[in-house]
Amino acid sequence: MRRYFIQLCAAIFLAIGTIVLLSPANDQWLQWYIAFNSKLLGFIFDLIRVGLIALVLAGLLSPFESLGWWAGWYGDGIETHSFLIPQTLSSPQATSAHIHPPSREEATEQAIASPHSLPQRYVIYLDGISQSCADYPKRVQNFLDTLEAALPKEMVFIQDIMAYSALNRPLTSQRPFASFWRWVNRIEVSNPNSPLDILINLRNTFQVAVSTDNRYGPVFNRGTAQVILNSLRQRGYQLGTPITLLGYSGGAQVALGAVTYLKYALDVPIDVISIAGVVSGDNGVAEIERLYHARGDRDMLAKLGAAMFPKRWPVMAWSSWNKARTEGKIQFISLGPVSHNGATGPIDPVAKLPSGQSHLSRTMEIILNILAAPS
Amino acid sequence: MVLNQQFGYLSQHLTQILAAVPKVDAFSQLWGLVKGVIALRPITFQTLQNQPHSLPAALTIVFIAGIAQSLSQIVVLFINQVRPLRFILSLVISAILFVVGFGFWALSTWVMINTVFNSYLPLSAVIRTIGFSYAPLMLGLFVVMPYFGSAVFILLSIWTLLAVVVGIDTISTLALWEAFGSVALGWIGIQLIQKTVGQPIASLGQWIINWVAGEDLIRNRNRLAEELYAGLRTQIAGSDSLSQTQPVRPSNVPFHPRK
Repeated sequence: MRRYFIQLCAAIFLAIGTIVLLSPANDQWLQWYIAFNSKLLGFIFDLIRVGLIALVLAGLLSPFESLGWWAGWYGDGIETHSFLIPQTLSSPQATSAHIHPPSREEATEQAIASPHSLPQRYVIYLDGISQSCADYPKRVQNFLDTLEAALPKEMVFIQDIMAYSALNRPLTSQRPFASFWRWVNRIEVSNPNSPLDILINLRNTFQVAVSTDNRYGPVFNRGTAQVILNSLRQRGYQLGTPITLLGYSGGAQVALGAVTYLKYALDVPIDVISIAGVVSGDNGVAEIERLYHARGDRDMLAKLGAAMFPKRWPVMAWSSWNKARTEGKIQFISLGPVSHNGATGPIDPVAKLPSGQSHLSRTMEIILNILAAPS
Repeated sequence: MVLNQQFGYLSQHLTQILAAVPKVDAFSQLWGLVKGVIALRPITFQTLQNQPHSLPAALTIVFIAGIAQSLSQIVVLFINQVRPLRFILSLVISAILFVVGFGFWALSTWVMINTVFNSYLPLSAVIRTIGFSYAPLMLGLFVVMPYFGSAVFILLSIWTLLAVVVGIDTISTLALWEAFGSVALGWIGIQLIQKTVGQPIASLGQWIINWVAGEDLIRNRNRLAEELYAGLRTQIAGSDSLSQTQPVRPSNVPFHPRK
């Protein structure tokens, strides 16, 4: 309660500070009002003005979640220390063990209970920038359910990670503005066409920007790596088991960011599957076995990502991305005439490709083929 | 009665003091002057030379620029796990040291103008001009912005350099390139002094920052990256050593993180 009060005071202080700081600009702004001579136009421009200020503020504050986590400002939200993982695969018994898991649903529990029913791979899903809480939107949840049902029984599927929080905290709880995000979610549920989801997208886009930033990226990526490690531990991860990170949109960047730390911590083969990924091409690419970069031909956001990050420009021949590309570590896969998200996106079960195959079915086929024959 | 008389004198005295304080000074015109400097208007640099209180106003601008500059370095404080109160104090102290550093640069530039380039400018004029030229750095808050921040920092640094050169060119008899030369030589001079005879002062500054932060701050980029690997190495249950599963060292990073 005390912490919440302090956070609320900080938010009020910040709001007043912003008003005071920007007050010299009011004179210029008032001239616009005179030019408009219309209350409605004035109101609209006021909204735009407030929106822009809020956007800049949100951008300025975005690195502080992960930075504050590392500095221990939020208490013991997440452990940063090493954790115990049973060593089984590397032991002589494990290498000669046969894998006979009775059911995929119980694989995790059995992995903990019996060293003879070990998962052969852990697949970790990192959602796109529309993620706000543990409950995924219908389309995403359908994709995850379909994928989980189709995965081989020896694979453990982890899908409970908040990809855009070093604290693994949803937007809708344990935050000063949690009630605001809950309200946005309620509106979204009652009216899926509501434009309010753009707020969640913007918030998470800033976290993707934090992940790509040379200064904050290492801390944010260390945080998400820790979240993934903790989740692996909870699911009975056995050391030596390979990992596949499946990132959708911004989740692909989060996956690549965390790879360096995961590789250091676990020293196992790690693949990344990027579905419509917006990735910066940073150093994580050098650490993985292979990146499968699947994107739609109509995916403007993924194309924008390729243009926005200089490390991905072909002219930067010495960048990690281009080196990995030359070494054949990056495999580009076309999803067909598919856009970035929504009803024409890669995980929509209704939209059809010219071949008659649904977008979801095509994406599933690609993912399962990759998982069936990993690098 | 005597008391009333005393209060009467006092209020008369105060009125005289207030009347002596100019109504229009650099602080009351600060926003206009800052805008002029940001727009690189030579007339602004001329105007501010005659403005009352322009020297403290210049130092205020440098202090605010120093705070903004400190904000661009916050990741160092965070990775070093500095606590919130010490964090805020560290920002303020860094800004004060930034003002001190500015003072040395202004002094060095003044020496160069008056010796190497055989021109004459009073020291106060140089401090005023270079101080106000730091106005673009007041926008340094935006350097905190992820991804775009680094580009904003480069932009603001170039902008500030341009403002300094235009300012010195405006208030002196130097040509534009001579003004640039004096500023550049002043900067080189201060770097040389910092590395030689000024070493104790630089060390003192560092000591103050560490003292306020409550620990020896790690500033080296590679060492900072190493810090993030602390405690990440997996321990193997039932095994007695980490050496059995010595992880591959990431190619892009560091080595030997703290255990």
